[in-house]
Amino acid sequence: MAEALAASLPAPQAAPTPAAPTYEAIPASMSKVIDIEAEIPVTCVQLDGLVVTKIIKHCRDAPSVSSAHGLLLGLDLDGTLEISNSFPLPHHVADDDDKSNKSIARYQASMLRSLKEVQSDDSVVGFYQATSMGAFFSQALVDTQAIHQDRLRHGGIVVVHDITTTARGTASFRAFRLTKAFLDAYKRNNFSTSSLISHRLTFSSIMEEIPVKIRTNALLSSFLTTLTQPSYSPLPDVSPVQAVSTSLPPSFSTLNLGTPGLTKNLEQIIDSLDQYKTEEGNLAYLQRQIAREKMRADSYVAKRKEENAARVAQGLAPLPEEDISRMFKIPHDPSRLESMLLLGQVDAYAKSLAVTSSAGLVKMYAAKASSGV
Amino acid sequence: MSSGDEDAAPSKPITPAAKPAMSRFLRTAGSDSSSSDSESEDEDESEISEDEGQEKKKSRFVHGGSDSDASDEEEGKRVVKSAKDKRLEEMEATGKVMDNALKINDWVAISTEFDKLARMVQRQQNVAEPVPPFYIRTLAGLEGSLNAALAKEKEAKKKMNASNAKALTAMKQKVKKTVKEYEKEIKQFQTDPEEFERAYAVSVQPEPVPIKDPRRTKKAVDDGDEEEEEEEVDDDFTTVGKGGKTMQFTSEGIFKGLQLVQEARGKKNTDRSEQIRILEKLLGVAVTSYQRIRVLLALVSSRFDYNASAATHMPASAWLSAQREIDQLVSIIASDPSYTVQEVTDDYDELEERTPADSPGGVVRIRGSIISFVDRLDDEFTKSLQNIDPHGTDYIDRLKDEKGLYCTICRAQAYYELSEQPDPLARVIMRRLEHIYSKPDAVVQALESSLSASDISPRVNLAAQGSTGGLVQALCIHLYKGINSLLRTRAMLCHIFHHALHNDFYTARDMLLMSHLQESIHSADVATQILYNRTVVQLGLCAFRCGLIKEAQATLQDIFTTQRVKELLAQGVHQQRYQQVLSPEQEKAERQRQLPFHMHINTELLEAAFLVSSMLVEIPLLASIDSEELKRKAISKPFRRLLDFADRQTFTGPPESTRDHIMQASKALQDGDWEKCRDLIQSIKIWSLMPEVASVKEMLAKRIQEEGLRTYLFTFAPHYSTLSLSLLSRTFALPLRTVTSVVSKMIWNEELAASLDQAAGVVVFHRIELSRAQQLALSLADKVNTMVEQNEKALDIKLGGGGGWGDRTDGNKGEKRGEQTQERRGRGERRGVGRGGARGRGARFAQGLGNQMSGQQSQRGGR
Repeated sequence: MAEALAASLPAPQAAPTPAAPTYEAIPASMSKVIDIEAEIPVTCVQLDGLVVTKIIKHCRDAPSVSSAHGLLLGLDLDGTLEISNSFPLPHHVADDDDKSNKSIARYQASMLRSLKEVQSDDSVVGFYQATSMGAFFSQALVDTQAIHQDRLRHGGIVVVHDITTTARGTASFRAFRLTKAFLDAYKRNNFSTSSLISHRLTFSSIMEEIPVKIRTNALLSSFLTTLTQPSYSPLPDVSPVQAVSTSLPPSFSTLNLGTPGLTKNLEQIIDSLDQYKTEEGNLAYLQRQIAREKMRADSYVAKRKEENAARVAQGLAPLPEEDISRMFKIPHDPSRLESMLLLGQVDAYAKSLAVTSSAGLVKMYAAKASSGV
Repeated sequence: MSSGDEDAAPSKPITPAAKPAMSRFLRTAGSDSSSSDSESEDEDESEISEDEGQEKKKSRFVHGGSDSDASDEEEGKRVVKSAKDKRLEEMEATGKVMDNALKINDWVAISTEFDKLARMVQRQQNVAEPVPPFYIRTLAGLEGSLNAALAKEKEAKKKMNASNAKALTAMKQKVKKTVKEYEKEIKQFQTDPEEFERAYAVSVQPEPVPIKDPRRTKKAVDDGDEEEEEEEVDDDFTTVGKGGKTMQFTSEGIFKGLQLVQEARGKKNTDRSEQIRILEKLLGVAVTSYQRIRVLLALVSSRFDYNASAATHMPASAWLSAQREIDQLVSIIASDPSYTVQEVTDDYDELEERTPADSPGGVVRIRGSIISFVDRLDDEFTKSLQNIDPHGTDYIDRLKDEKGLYCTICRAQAYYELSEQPDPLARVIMRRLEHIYSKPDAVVQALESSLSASDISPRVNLAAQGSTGGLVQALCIHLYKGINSLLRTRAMLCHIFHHALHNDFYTARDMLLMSHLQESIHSADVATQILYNRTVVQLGLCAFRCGLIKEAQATLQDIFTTQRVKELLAQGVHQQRYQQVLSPEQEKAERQRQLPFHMHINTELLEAAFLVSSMLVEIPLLASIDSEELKRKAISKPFRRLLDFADRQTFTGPPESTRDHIMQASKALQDGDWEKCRDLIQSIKIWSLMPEVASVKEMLAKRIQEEGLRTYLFTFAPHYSTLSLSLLSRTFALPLRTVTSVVSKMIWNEELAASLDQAAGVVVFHRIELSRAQQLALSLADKVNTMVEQNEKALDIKLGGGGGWGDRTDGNKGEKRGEQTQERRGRGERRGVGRGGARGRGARFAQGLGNQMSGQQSQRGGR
């Protein structure tokens, strides 16, 4: 998917410049906030109400969590990335990569063209990804974002939408981009232990979060307000239940004693722990392999040195120092990216588990208190 | 002196004993039929290497026959011809053969014939006769044809085969050498052949009859002994002839003779059998004790020298005579305290007779070592047992000699007790102990019974101690008192083994645990490690016989998980695996380490015991756990593997092997069908090898009933809310008391969520079913726990200090950490060593067992 996206994206410098010659004079009041050269860093992401609803709808309807992803369109203004539109991308399951990649790229290109034709925003600023329990770390996400950050103006962002919390009544949107240190390591394709240490990388420093604002236009806000405002019945003789009516009745779902996602959460955390364990096992195996090879090489070198010393003592010419790296294929340090991402997942699951269970505990105490036991 | 012999010797890699007989055979055949060629030699050689022992006998026989034939023939001729003429004739016959061979370009034959000719001429010179012109003529002719052949060979490269070409070049060298020797004669001959021959005729004529008939001298020298070469006759001729052979075998000439033999010892061309024969003769004429001791010392060591290579064993007859002579030696020394044999003595003149009177302290000290003779004798015995097919009657016959050997060892022990030499005494006691520790009482009694007949006997014997246990104990105690720690260790192991053999499990186990051997055994030598493994295995078998199933399983488990039972017990050679190939030396060493067959612990019986005890432990356990996760943690991996394999089988036929029996029995046990299980287990044939079969079978039946009950409860408890105890007792044919106690135990151990209703006589089951979330939470807790442990370990490795954790943590935790680090260190060592050698392997087993044992110990301590 990442490659497909990359292929379809416009070249980085092409995006902002096409209109350059036909610029009209920028009003003085705006000259400071419009940065043609993308000099002002993005400090805030602003989601349109439209985008929010579109993402929520897409993610809820998607057959699986990981398949729900799409592109974000918009513009940046004075450090704020305004996302005004989005559209979902198709997800092909178990197709051969090449074909699905191509079709995704085609769809994306035609979508962008169509949007341009209706004078809508058509510049890609990032993508969104659905997730559950907050564990959004995955190789695919990191890959895609790395490509975006390379090609897009301002690097682009990824908006992560957590459907689990949304189902509980608090929609969650978080915007991220990769940190510089991670990008550096990623470009070198070096996630060995030493590189992790030198880049000060842990799973929490892979991404940096950008604050998200949700903007609705005035009309929409006032409509929403009316929805939540109770209206009093004008009739004098109504029952108290019917006296107050709201179009959006208050939800008491948070008081539900059951903890719906708990089992799922536990399963997932166990799964990712298992995966992590396997990954650790692989790493340890590779580590041993390397150690063994190194030892062999070292012993060879030592032997050669000894031999040379003996030869010198005998007055013979020392044997040439051979290229050890050619004789012993010492494998590279294993990449720890995968295990790091898995750790990130475990962490996210654990956090969400903590939230759920603490809420559950509070509810239990409340229930106990109210039942008077 | 004869170049031919030396050239031929290295090229023939056959045993020295067989070789002389061979070449002799060839020679007689050659002179008779004049058609010996390389092919027949090759054939015979391969035959020899195929079957050494047989061939030796055969060739000896053939040779003897041809010998008598030849002498008959010659007897006839002797009437008409003088010895000189006969020799000439012989030479000419050889020359003819050479001519024939020359015609067909067979250089191998030429080479052998030429060697023979050279020998004859040599002999001629020995009797001070001039070189016959015939020889010179042949030499000159040979030189010419050799040059021609070489030239031809150069032109046509492919014509000769390898052996022929080799022989040709060898011939070239030889002829060159010989020609140089006889340069003058050849020149004379070449200038005027007629004149040369005439000169020879003249020189021969006035000579009197030659000094000796070589035929007769030969006969005199080797009257009894057949395995002798003619060139050796020349050899001996010089040696023996020096002092006149009738003179030599007198008591005065003994020391001279001894010295001669001693000088010849270890030399390449020395004929060992001849030496032994000379020594035997010397022994016959020795009169004083001193002389006899000296001769016996030399004789025994030359008997042991008889086999040059370490791979083959001594022939039984030689061994027996050696044993007899050691006995003789011991009785001489023991009966006369004024003579001692010591490894270190003052220098003394080897050629002089010494008596107690003229020696300091009235004791004649003679250099020698009886203990090393005994050691060697025992080793040779073991070696011969290793080499004899254990399923033949030969083996039994050889085994009968153990009695004599045991007797010899005891006599040596008695001698050392008398002379109070602690170090050799400990060694000889160890030897004695090794002969009896693994044997059943009856055999030990038989061995001991032979002692009463001997003139001297050690202080410790069966009659005095009353039982074999007492005997072993007494011997071991003597060794425990000694200073040699290796012998102490071995004695301890033998003692434990003996206890285990006599079903004294608790004593044996306590001794093993108290000895703390499991901690140091991996640094011991391989033989001791093997003994340790044997002891542990025997302990496991003992536990099995005593009905201590769990202990048996735990003890035997370690050795079975290695999957190299035979190798670890030194009862079979290592299986070659793809990643490691043993060097020939290692393989040889391993082969030498093998125990003789009669000492083997039957591995099939061992396996049966292990698998049955695994079954009895594992099947209830399997029934008690329900999650897949726990199932993977098998107690006994080998058993679980077999069971899984049996599960995968689509069709199962009637059981054939022991394993089949046990697997089907396991399945029956799983189904609660204990009767079938019992029948299957009891029908295993290998039990018959176990002492007290009936009681063991009975014990097994009882265990199967109990474990069947447990399995049944585990498997079917969820389907009942209450279960009548009387029904259980009827189903499993167990008394009500036993059923109640089994159920109570299970409830107490929290294996069964139930309670007993005494009044109604039922088991009431309580069911607590965990919700999915609870289950998951539990397994999550487990996983997190392992992860934490892993992290700690990783940190530990990172910090590098092996003792770091152990030092820092205190109290109860310290012990555990220590264990961990030890384990880890062990692993590192394993990695470092790179699975090198048998020592590492043994060490691993020993180490694993050590941990196990210490674990058990701490458990016991905790209880």
